Amino acid sequence: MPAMTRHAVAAVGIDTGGTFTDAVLEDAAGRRTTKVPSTPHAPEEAFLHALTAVDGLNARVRHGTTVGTNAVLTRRGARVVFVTTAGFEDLPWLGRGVRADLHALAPCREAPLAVAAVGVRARTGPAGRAEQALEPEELTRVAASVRAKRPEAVAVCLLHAARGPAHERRVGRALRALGVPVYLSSTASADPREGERGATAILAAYVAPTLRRYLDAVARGLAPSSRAALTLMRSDGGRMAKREVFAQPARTLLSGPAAGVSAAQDLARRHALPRAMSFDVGGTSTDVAWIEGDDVPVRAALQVGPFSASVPSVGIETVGAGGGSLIWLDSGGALRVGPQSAGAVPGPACYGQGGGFTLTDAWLLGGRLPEALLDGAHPLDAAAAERGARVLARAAGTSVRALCEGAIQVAAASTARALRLASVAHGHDPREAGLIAFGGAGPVLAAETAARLGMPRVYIPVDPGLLAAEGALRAPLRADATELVGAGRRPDLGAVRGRLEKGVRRTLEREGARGVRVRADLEARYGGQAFTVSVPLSVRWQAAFHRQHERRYGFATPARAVEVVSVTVRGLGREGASRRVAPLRSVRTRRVDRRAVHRADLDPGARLRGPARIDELSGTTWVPKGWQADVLADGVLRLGRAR
Amino acid sequence: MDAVDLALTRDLLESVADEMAAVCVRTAVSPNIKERRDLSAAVFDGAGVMVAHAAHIPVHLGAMPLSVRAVLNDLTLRPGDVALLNDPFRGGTHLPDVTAVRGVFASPRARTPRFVLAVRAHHADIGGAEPGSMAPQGDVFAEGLRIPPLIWQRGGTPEPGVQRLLMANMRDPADRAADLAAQAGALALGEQRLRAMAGQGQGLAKLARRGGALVSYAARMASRALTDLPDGRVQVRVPLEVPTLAGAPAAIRLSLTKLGACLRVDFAGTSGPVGESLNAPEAVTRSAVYYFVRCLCPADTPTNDGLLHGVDLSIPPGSLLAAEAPHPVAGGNVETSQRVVDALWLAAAKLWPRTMPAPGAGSMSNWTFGPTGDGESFPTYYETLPGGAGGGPAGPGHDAIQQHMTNTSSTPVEVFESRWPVRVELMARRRGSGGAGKQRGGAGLTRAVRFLSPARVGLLMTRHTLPPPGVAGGKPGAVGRVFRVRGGRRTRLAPRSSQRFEAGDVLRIETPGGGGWGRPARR
Repeated sequence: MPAMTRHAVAAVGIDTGGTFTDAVLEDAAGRRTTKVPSTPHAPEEAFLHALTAVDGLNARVRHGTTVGTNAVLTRRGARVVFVTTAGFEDLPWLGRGVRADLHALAPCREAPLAVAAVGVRARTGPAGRAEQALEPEELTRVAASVRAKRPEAVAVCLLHAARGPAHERRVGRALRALGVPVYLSSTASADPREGERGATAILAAYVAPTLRRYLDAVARGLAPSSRAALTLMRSDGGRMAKREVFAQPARTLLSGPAAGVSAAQDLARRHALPRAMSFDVGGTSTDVAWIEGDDVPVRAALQVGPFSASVPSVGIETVGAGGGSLIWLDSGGALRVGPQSAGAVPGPACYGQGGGFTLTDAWLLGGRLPEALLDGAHPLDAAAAERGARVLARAAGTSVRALCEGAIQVAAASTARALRLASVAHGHDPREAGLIAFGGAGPVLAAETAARLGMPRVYIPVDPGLLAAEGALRAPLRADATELVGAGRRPDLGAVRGRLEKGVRRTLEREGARGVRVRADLEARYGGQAFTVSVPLSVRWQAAFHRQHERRYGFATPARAVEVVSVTVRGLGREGASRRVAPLRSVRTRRVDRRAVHRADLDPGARLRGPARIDELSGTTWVPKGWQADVLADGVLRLGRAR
Repeated sequence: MDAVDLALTRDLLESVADEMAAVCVRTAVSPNIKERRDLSAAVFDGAGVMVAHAAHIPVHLGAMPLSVRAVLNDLTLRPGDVALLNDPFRGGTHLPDVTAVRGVFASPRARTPRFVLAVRAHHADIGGAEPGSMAPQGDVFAEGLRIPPLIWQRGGTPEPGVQRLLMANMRDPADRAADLAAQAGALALGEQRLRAMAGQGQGLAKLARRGGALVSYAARMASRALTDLPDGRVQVRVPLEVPTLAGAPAAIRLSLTKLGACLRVDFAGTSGPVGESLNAPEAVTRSAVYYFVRCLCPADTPTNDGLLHGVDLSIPPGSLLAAEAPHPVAGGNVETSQRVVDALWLAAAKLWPRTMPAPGAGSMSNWTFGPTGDGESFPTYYETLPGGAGGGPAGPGHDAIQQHMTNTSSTPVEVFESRWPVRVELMARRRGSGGAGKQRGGAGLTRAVRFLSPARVGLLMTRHTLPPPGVAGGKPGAVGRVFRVRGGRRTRLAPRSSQRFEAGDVLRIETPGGGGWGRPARR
């Protein structure tokens, strides 16, 4: 069992995924876990089912949900009316003018999530000052015009509202009377680009009613004492109170992947890995992230399908290869894995429901999976997998065995590509990083992927298929605030920082966080340049800026004027006091000569040589030939080249 | 090579191209490279056949192979050398696009490379008469510094004389040096990556053979796509809006023949050189053909030289589609390139009306503005504007979208107003501008900008007199229009011109709509 924070009151992490809903509960007595099928038509059912299974109805619930994401991907969110500066009503339809696919015969972009737009006759200039007043009659006219479009939610984005939100706020107040949720771009994001900020407000409005219905249903199932303590995963690897979710719904959109990265970062810290990459392989896709230092990697924006929102989010790269990815031959005769997937239904061929030949089938026939998943609860139909493989092998002019091994290598190559993009493209060397593999299919693919990149070690946590739930359980509470700094005048950075820090602390303390830590960063650039560099806000920030610029771009010009674009304060804290992480004790190594073994039968110190398979409830680890697996003191599996 | 090797080789070589592009974006300083991603990276075999390409900008597609071949013909690359060129008459597109080329050799003493790597990027300035090196000029000498294929780096460091010569001719030498260093860094990483993949010994030779299989693979996919289309022959004539230098009406003539898996693309009869910098270097014309064939292929077809195996391309030398020195070419890259695609599109729409949409806006609607020289201090601004896409068998044309040879993002209004003395007053779909049809063309864009300071405004646009045509009975889209609004009075401006705007003047640009597809329903 991992070294961990003790929870005086029981706490439970619950992650709702596309196929399974997972729960990990911890209390004074220990740890309980479960994995139940998701119920996409009413996700609260699986949530309550999982919670009951671990006896957690009275626990503090920490939840990662895909309800908002699914509403976006299936386009089943609210009817959103977009309110903006007159003359710019087409903003969501225009985007930045680019097409999605470079070589499409008919170029196109995704249609926006808003259905109609209303213009406001008033204007704020780039410094945030009003240049055309917003008259009371105009507010009345706008409200009537919005009402006539029968919105279920409203998103407001006026030009330059990130610097001068006064007009936007007045419009917001005038629209409250409509009785539907209203989201302001200046509250949703500090991004000084109207398209990105507006899209963030639209996403917030689009998912808000769905999220509210869901969270109300969830809360009804909880004990009254637990309702107030319900927190949700944010996209940046922290948690936020339910009340904050309604204020900032777009912040939850990547909560599942964020929880996984957060847990992987936790593991890297416990194992004293200075650099690591998370490797989260699910049914349809693989998410990877670079992890360095003592915090999760955060980016300024997130992406959900074709939509993006300018809110902080874990920096992940995604490729469309996962356990359910379909294997096929293209018209040039190459073997391909994904991006199409068999989905949860019918699933891979070996689920016996008429599904196509997938990576999971290749693993099964290649000896990487047991005859039944979920500790025997989910038997696999090898004959069905074999039938699918034979058709494909014949077309490719090869054997079933070669086809399966080939498909596995092609999948490893495509996930390796994602790892390279998340590391090399940002100036990191993957060979210096440990690979932390999880998700239902991460542990079976990890070693073969690592081998392609020369990554020396793979770490598999206990319960790898439950790591997102584990991440939700352990993630700190987080809050952040950003303020744009006016160009021209020399800004009083200390005052900005003080103001932001006060707000962040207030939010976190209201949520019950103790031991709050905050950090302030600023975004700055050389005058006249468009791209910024982020450095910690200190008295010596200018020197740090030049150094960082040199490191990232290979040059610095200390004589050139530097301008500050924005200041961001991030804070985190936890509800209870956290114990110090105890160093891992060393254990005596013992050889275990088995080709297939249950993880529960392996004690710390056990060493297996590949080829070997290690089964457990939530995933299977594959140790290739030439590799070995060591069970560490905390139960984590470490894979590396056999010596 | 079997199905698995093919997939693995593709992944290996494409990831080298992807990584080179990513590193260049990360370390460059030009906004063109960093934000608009106006760059390409590609892997070639030792003979200069392109095997893998990181696709960002279609107009580089055909130009990369020509540039690499020019380097291999003119120079002797040795291990560690980096060659440079931008010469539009030796594989370049327009002068700001600078290509850096490096060979990967089996041993330090080897004479011929096993692989050649190239990274091309659009620099913010390359000297010449006007900042940005994009304004129409009388000849190529005024457009900027022309770099024939030359050895720029030996053993990892720039040749001091070459570097000094380059930097002495650039407006912002520190930024240029950084951008070039970014390209060289990307090439060095590409070589490292290839060597790691190939392993020791005969690895590079083996990997090169596998690269050859990748070219045949793309050729098979293109061949299958072409075979699936009906055979036929069609001729089109697409007139240009400027006359030839000799004063005759200028036009692109294209004869397109499809038989089995082969495509003959013949531009015989196309006019000679034209004015207003609308001449296209051969590389640009090839890029348009490359792009067209790629569009006919399935979505995930690799982009390498195999795409053109079944294509017989003929461009009359000295015509406006194979410009010769010293004709200016800045507009050929951005405008005539679109016209070449229009010609291909129109011909294909006649051959395959069930497959092809009508031509779209057909202009990148380039405009720039900068200081008048009276003491204003703001940087030069450049953008391309989207227009309507053509209607097609699958549905109406998309409104206001970047097409064909470019796909660069518009600048956000808030960023624009913060850094330049302007107020944007309107940005909207230009309603009614799409051509009528069974499937109507997409709408163009209307953009109105008020200047708060005097400024010099340059326009480089086409499709202002001859509209984007409809096909199969569809009606043409609306032509583009540009106005200066001063004190409530509108004056229509010439689409390729330069004029002074006073504080308070409004520039109103309406970009062309797309052509309609099929006869419109009767009302």
